[in-house]
Amino acid sequence: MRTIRKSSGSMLVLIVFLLGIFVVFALGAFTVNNFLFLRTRAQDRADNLALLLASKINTGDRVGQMNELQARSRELIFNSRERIADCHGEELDMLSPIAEQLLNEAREGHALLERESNNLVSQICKEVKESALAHNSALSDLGIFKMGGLLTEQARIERVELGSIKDIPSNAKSDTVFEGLSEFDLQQNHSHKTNGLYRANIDAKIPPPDGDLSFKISALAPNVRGTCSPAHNVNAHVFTRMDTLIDNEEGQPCHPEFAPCAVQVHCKMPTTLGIKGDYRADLTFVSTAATNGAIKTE
Amino acid sequence: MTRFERRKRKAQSLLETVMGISFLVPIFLLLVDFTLVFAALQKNDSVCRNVVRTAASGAPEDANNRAQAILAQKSDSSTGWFSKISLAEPVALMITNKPNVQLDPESNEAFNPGGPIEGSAIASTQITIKPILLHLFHGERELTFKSQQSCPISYVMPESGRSNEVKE
Repeated sequence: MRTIRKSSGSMLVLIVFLLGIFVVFALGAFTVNNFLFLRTRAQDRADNLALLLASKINTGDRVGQMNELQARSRELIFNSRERIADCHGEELDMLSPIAEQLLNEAREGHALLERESNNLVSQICKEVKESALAHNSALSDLGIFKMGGLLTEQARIERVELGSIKDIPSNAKSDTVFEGLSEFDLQQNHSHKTNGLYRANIDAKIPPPDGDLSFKISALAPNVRGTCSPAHNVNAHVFTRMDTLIDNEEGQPCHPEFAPCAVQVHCKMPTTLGIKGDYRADLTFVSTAATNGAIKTE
Repeated sequence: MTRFERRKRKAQSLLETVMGISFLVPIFLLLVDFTLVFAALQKNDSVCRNVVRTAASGAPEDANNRAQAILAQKSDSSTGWFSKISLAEPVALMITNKPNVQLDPESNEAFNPGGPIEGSAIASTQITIKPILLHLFHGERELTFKSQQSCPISYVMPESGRSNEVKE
């Protein structure tokens, strides 16, 4: 039997149906759009944060100055040791006690420098950690965004890592005045042949009998013809991790072997989707920044 | 079915269509307006981000000039929908620490040793749109949106005032 369809009211139903689809689709589109917008803003905040933390590392050129002090200290010890040998070789034995005293002073000075170098690394870690934790504690509920079934909170720092940037040398230069030492540095691959700059993150030991001393030279962008590299964001893949400063939003004991020159910040933005908050996920953002380079050229 | 009944049914369909369209069209226009608002917000936010980053990465005295240059580059023309993006107020620089002028003990000349400038730059940009329907609810023909962003200053002041400024 043929069914007779009722045509009256069909337009009204169709239009209401279309209207519903239209509104739902539009709401969905706006929600997704806003979500992407918030994600971009959170990434920007992470970039700014990484930049801020990185700029605290080399405040007052402290890392650059420490590298220079390490380089000068090793030259002083190397030179003092050579003077003792000269005294013995040139029959100037009466000057040997003075030469030995100078060497001892140089070694004592270096011991002091080593302690200060460790203090510097601890101080950098402390300042960066305090600054990062202060950011998390300053977050308020104002940044919460809610639209439809989407709810996002402000991005929090979850993890902070200290490290250096690949292929960045040290700012300190191996002085060619001390020929023996500069040749030794090249042999041991302590310095670059082309520009004489020390390689980064090395223990630039000197020849025996002073090989027991360690001269830790950190990575830092050198000053090139009076131009200092400012703090800047870098790609994450050039970052080399040294130690973790903050993990799971909590400060960790941290003491890297060398002074860092970069920081990597991992942020998370808690996001909830669904009318009853059924789906919960943390969006993560990673941002890396390098500190400013050496200010002074020696 | 009589002629009258057929005409009555046609009239009913026509009425439903007209009424439906009269609902759909304003909703469609409102959606266009909302799209316009979101697009304007995002464009303004993106330009503001570029402005503040550029302002924060150079000499503080030229921060506004750099900001204006970025604005000219990123928002070079206004369209029927969007106005040109402009600075809502001059770029504000909150400098917390900067290298100070010192006296050279040897030459007795004043010089600046150079070094990083610490602090943050704050930029605020605005964009105006002309919505189709939203102004009926808002009251004004144009809607203006502002975006404010801050960025740490990443500038290292070069050494100045010494006769041998540039060293190898």
